[in-house]
Amino acid sequence: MTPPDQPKNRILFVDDDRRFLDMISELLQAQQPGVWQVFLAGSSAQALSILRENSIDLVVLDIQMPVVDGIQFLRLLERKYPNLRKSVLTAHADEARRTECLEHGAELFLEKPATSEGYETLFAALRELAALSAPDTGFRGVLAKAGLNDVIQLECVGRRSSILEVSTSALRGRIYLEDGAIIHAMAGTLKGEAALHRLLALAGGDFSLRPFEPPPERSIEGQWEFLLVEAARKRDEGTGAPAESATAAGPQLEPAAAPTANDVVVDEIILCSSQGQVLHEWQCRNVDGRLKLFTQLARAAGKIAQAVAAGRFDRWEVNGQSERVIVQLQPDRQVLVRTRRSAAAPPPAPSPKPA
Amino acid sequence: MKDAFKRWLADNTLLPGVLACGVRFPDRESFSQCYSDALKSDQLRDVWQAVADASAQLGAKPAPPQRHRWVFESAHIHVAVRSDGVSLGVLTRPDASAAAVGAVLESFLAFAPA
Repeated sequence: MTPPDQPKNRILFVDDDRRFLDMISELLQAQQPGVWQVFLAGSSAQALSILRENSIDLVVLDIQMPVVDGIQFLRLLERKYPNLRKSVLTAHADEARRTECLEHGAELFLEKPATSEGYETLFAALRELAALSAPDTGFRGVLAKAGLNDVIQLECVGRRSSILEVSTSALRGRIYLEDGAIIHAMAGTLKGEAALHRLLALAGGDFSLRPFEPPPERSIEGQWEFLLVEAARKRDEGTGAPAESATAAGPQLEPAAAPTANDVVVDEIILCSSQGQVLHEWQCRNVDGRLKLFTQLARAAGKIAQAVAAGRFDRWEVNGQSERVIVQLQPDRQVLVRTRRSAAAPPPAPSPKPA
Repeated sequence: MKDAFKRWLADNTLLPGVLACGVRFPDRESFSQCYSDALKSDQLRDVWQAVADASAQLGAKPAPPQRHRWVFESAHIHVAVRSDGVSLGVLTRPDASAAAVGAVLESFLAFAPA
């Protein structure tokens, strides 16, 4: 429940299906009570009228509407209200339409869910989106609370381009994101993955999200999921960077030598919501098996945590002679990354045994 | 053979940050070495059992020898599985040296019982 003194997020749903509007409004307020002030518009004209009279944080619109279609309306919103957050919600998602919407100012492109779990995921995504303030003014946050990792993931999932500026009393750095990929990082005199690991190992500091500008160079390649999981591993192993004591550039703080994207090949990635909705997958040949794996792993981790009071489970890592699998379970997402050394032949995707 | 592993366990696993460790055999027998008063052998047996069951169930694993790590907020569990099916579990605090624990796991994988 949102405290009474905390302003509610103002959300406007635009859809020509009145029953859908009523249903989503009810569901949203039932699942996240006190969080939202909901506005509903059955047409783009009605939406513009609401936008003129109210300060709206987030618009969620269908792209298949009569008179003015969703893409046209997105372009109009982008021109008239450049700071407004926009999400497309459609029953007919395809890659071409998605690209078009993102190019015309939508921060998220989402499919209308078919299950109540799907709506939970949808509302969680909208809440995260609403939590970001206007993109051209940037925002400030505390890493310990907001999570630099979370911000990067949100930017990457939304395939956005931006610059994440990070600073502590002793270190300043930048992470460049282009179309949802991490392409460059700088921290003190470090650059590339070493800089990324340094920044992601910080336990506190300030960050701000800036509009994208081309970086001086491109020093990072590879899938963002793998990069983030690898950074988390190095942080936990103490080979990323010391937390508050990070200094500008001491060579003694260079991360220990470790596989980089240049000599590690990513064979598979799957990213799901905690309800098992696949948000992103790459070369995953057994999606159902992976979903089952997430469930089994969560169950096993629960047993272990109960036996020795180990606290919240974060991830499971398996290292073979050439292959490596990392499965991370977070309250809101689950990710599996399978990699191998580039010299090794690609192994077949393993199939989980029947439960 | 089991006695040799027991001796190996007692001789090689006392490291800063290590709370307990245990060896488990393919016949499900296990024994533990505990370095923390807060842990009981029953708890540890449950942990090694859960880890072994999970390893058997979870399909996404390379062939042994292999190393696993379970990362929890307050503890890490490092596991090494030998080609002969004998496994080692090492329960550590999160700040234990991963390199030092890694050396113990490698030593376990290379150990040849007399």
